[in-house]
Parts: sequence; C-alpha cells; structure tokens
Amino acid sequence: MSVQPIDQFCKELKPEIKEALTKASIGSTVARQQSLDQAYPEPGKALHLRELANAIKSVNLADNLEKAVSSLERNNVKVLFAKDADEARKIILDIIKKKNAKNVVKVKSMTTEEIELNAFLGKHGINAVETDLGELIIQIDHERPSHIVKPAIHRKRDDIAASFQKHGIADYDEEPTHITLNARKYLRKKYFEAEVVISGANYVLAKEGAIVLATNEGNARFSMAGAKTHIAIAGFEKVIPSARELSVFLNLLGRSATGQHTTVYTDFVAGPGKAKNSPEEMYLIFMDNGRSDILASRFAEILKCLRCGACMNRCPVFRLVGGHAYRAVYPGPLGIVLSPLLAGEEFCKYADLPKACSLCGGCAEVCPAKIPLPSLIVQMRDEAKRRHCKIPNDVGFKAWSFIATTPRLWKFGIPFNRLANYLPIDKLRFGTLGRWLKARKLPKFKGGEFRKWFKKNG
Amino acid sequence: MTPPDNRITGKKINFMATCLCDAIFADAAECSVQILKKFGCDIIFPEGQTCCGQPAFNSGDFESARKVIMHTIDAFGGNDYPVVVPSGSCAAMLFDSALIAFKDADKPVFEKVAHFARRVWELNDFLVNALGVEKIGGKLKARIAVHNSCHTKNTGTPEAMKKLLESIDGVELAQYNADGCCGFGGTFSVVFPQLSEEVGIKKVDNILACKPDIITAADTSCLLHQYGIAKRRGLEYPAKHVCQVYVEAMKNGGLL
Repeated sequence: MSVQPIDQFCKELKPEIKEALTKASIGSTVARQQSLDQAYPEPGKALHLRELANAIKSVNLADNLEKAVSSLERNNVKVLFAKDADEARKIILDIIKKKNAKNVVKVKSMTTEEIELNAFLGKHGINAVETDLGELIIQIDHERPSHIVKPAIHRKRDDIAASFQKHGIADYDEEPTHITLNARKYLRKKYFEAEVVISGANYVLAKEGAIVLATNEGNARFSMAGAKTHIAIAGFEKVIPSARELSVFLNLLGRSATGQHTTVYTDFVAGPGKAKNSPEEMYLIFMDNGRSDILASRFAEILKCLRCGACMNRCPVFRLVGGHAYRAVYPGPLGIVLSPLLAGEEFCKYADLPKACSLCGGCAEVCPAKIPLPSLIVQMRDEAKRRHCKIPNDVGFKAWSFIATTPRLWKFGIPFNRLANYLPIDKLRFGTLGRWLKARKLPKFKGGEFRKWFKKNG
Repeated sequence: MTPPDNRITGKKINFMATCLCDAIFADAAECSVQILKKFGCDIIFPEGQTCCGQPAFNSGDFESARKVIMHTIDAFGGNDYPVVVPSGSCAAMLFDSALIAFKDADKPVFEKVAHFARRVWELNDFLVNALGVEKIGGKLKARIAVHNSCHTKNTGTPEAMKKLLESIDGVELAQYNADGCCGFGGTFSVVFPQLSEEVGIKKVDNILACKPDIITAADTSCLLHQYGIAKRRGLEYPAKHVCQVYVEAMKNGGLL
C-alpha cells in the first residue's frame, strides 16, 4: 500500500530527534508569544502590527522594484536580474571568476539554499564557507537546513562536537559555549582568506537603495570586513518601500522567530565603500525563479513571507518531523505552499506536501505578515487536483459526493451503519480503515436515530 | 475562520444535525435541540440535509465539495432563517471555507453562497451572540476540560462556551495548555495515520493530565478522535458534546 512520504518519515525518525524538535519548536512559540505580549500589552496592538506588515507587502511590487533599482544604482550597487536558479548561479560564478577568487564566505541565506549554490560553487573549485553557526554545522556534514531560522535544530550537541572533531575543526568538546568558540576560531581564518562574501537580503529598501541583513552572530559584519566583493541575492519580493516601513518588520521579525525583541545585529548596506574595510564592489541579484508566476496566481500572499519560521515552530506536523521530511528547501506551513510552486514544471513531485497539515490554523495565528496559510494550503490541494498530480494514499470523494447530494440514498443508507456494531470491524487491521483503527477505537454507530427522535420530540 | 458580518438571527431556526450526529452522535444532536428549544427556538429540520462538504473540501476536491455545499444550501433553501449547527468546524465550513470553494464562481452563485454564510451559526455562538443568552444555570458537580476545536479560532464560540459552562453551579473548568490540535483533521488522520496518532496521543495525555470528570467540545469530530485514541490505549475518556453537559446540568437543576 502506498504511504505518504512524510508519514513514513515520522514513523522512522528517532524518538530523541523528535523530542528535540518538539522542545525547540514549542520553546520558540512560547518565547514569541511572551515577547509580543511584553512589547504590546494593549489588546489588538500586535495584531494591528501584523496587519500593517501584510498591507505594506501588498504595495505595488513592480513600482517599488523600479525605485529600488535606481536608488541602488545611485549608490553604486550593480543590479542584475536572474530569471531562474540556473541564471542566478551563472551570474554569481561569473563574478567570482572575474575576481579570480577561490574563497567565499557566506552569510546565511535561504535564497542560496533554494538555488543550491554551495554544491554548484564546490563543483567549480570554489570553496564557500557558511559563517552562521547552524549553517556551518550542517554544511560540514553535507546536510540541508531542517529549519529556515535554526538550520541545525535537529542536531544534538554531542554529535556536533563529534562532527567538529571529525572535520578537524576542533577537539571533541560538547560544551555549547566551547562549540561556539571553536567555530569562531575556525571562522576567523576564513574571514581573512575570503575574497568574496555572498549574502541574502532580509529587506531591500526601495527609497534608500540599501539592503538590510539581520543576524544574531555578527557574521555578516565580519564577512564584509575581509572580502573585497559583496554579492547579495534576493527574491524580488524582498523589496519594501522605505526605511520608514522597515520598523514594522524589524519589530516583528526577531519576536516572531525566536522571541528576541530584535536580532542582535541589523546591518544596513547601502552600496560599496561606505564604511572602512568594507567591500569595494557590491552586486545585488534580484531572482525570479518562479516568483512572477506565483505573484500572478491565487497564491500571491505567500510572497509576503518574512522567513521568520514562526509557522513551522507552531505546526504540529513540523514539530514531529522537522524540515528534512519535506524534501525541499522550505519546510513547514510556508514550505508546503511555496515548495511545489517554486518547483514549476515539477509541481507534482511535491504535491503531497500540502496534504501534511491538519488545517489546525496555528500557523495563521502566528504569521507576522498575516498570510492566510490554511486557506492557501487547502487551495494548493485543489491545485494538485487541477494539475492531475498523483498523490499516495489519497482519498477519493466522487462516490461520497454522489450520496451526499442524494438525500433519499443518504437517509436510507445511514441507519444501516448500526449493523457495523455487530461486526468485528474493531479487529480490522488492513486497508485504510484498518490502519486507522489500529490506533483508534470507534464509538457505537447510531445511524438514523436522531431523525427518528426528532420526528417524535422535535 | 472568520464569521461574516450582518449575520441573520431570530428564534425561528433551522437545525443542521451534521453527518457525524446523523451517523453516530445522536445524543449530541438531541441535546442540542433540547437546549435550543429551552431558549425559545422554533426548530425546523429540513429532511434533505446531509453533510456540509468539509471532507471533500479539506482534501482539495473542490468540485465534489461545491456539489455538496450547493446541495446543503438548497436543502435549507425553504426559508431564510438562521441555520444552527452543533459543530464549530461544520459551521466554519459553511460560513468561511465555502467562500473559498466558490471563489471563482459566477457572481450570482457566489452571492448565493455568501448569503447562506450569513445564516450559519455554531450553536454556542448563536445562543450567546444571537439570542443574548447569559446563562445555562442548573448544577453539575464536575471538573471539565474544554477542548476548543481548531475551526472555532477567531469565532465567538470559545468565549460563548466558556461563559455558558461557567454559569453552571458546581462546574470547575480545568486549566491546561489548550494550545493544540488533536491530530484529527478529517481525512488527515486517514492519509497520515502515524502523524495524526502521535499528535492525538500528545493531546489526549495533555487533557487527561488535568484529571477531568468530563471532556467537552463544540465539535463531536475532535471528541471522536480523542476518544478513539484514548480508548485504544486502554484509557477512560469521558467525552461529551457541550450540549450534553448543558442538558445534564439543567436537568439536575430542575430546569429541563
């Protein structure tokens, strides 16, 4: 029998990893709530801020993008456009080659994960080192991030220490502060060696022509201090009108992600040469990679995402399986909408993802941009039907809808379910119902009893 | 799930039993009718009613869902009175999700669905926010754990239910971390049996840890799942639809 891949993943995942995932996710959800309550004790204030974030992200993107390009160019930033992942990778490689560079430091960026940049650069003999601790941990073991904000959320400190030893970064030491110190020592050398820094952009300010980078480790600043060339890459939806609107997002991002009032470092990069020891040249690549199609579809709201991870922290499914279960770069409620759409022609390959949701609505409650995730998720299921995707273990509703629109059949049929009370169905262990009953008991069937009662007593 | 504005009210109402009450939870539907009558409602039960269409909608089979929703609208088309439902999720299906299913429909069709949405109420929300009921009264000495079903988020139901339960003499509402789904999600539990079971076990353990005499909700579907999970693991799970609790309290107090 066909099984849903995510359900199978859940079955096979080690209990201790599940526990770590659940604990970390719930911790972030609780911290988020506390930090918002503390900052905005007035009822409705936090909600208002989230509505504002949504409204700002609704402002005409094309206009803002145009403004952004001219402001960025005014600030001597070279602006380039990439229509897909292929083109983005090529542009980046060309710049690096032109500089005769071999060593790159990277500031955590989901966009570069999306285009699988590290593997590509590696193939071309370029050594790109992740400078965010979580990203570094997964990079050395050739893993994918299991969370968009906390990429190593699935890892435990003892196996991180073992991995550092294995890769010659440091001797085995599982004390968390020592792990951090060891990574820091290792990375210092890399900052000095790097000729190029590659970053994403949390926001692009259209009016000021600047990008904004939010980090907790200061690694963006360190990366900028050594390298002579800065390449930033961002989906074009990262453009917001100006620094004035930015305050709304900065007030929401840290709180939503980890319960911090703000990230430890917020860097504004408004072109090259503005600060001492900063890159002499700066590029910004605006990437489409399917975003234009999304913008024109009924799923446009997903492009308002701030990449805070609050939705996955809150998701009962993500809490049990983590990001790797989703087989795609973006996991959780955000990912089950975005990943199949970004896959373009390969939509159906990921069409099972939107099914991995009980529609509990928790994600919509915490989303800082107030994206109506459950509504998008259920429409993604409809989209999969429209595209005739085959989904394992799916349930059909044709027969059911026929019965449910034929009241005579319905009324006639329902009382017969009482017969099931005399059959040993509770012992059934095969087929869809059998699998369901393995973990659940059914109450007694009372088909038609209410209708009879109502006739007498209604 | 957000209920529409300008909702239709009145004491002459239609009762929608839901497919689960039709098939399994006859007692919950009977108690719901008793409560509505007690508060002065004149109840019509259109015999043509079947299901709200939620199973197909949640599975993304919008075509089948639209057929069933339209059937439901027509089944209740004999009058323009409110449609009261003893289930938060079926009500939300008809006042919120139906609009998504018919998003691309022709204007008159969409408007028909949108008008029907204004008639649909979850029972507790209806009692408190349409009829202005302040209390159930009666007495029931019980520690009660309330499960607020996911589909009642952002609706009047959780507050209304809390108010009505607290109005019963002797009721103590158990405080627990009510944050969380029970893992049912309709077909989700069928398509993802493992995930659903693990989410369900967490929920059930969480509720049982506060040692309630009764576990109640405005949805029989969530209770069905929680009961099923607990029972299979050999645990007692005294689950009752909230209207069964109301009827018991009113009977104890000689009000019914």
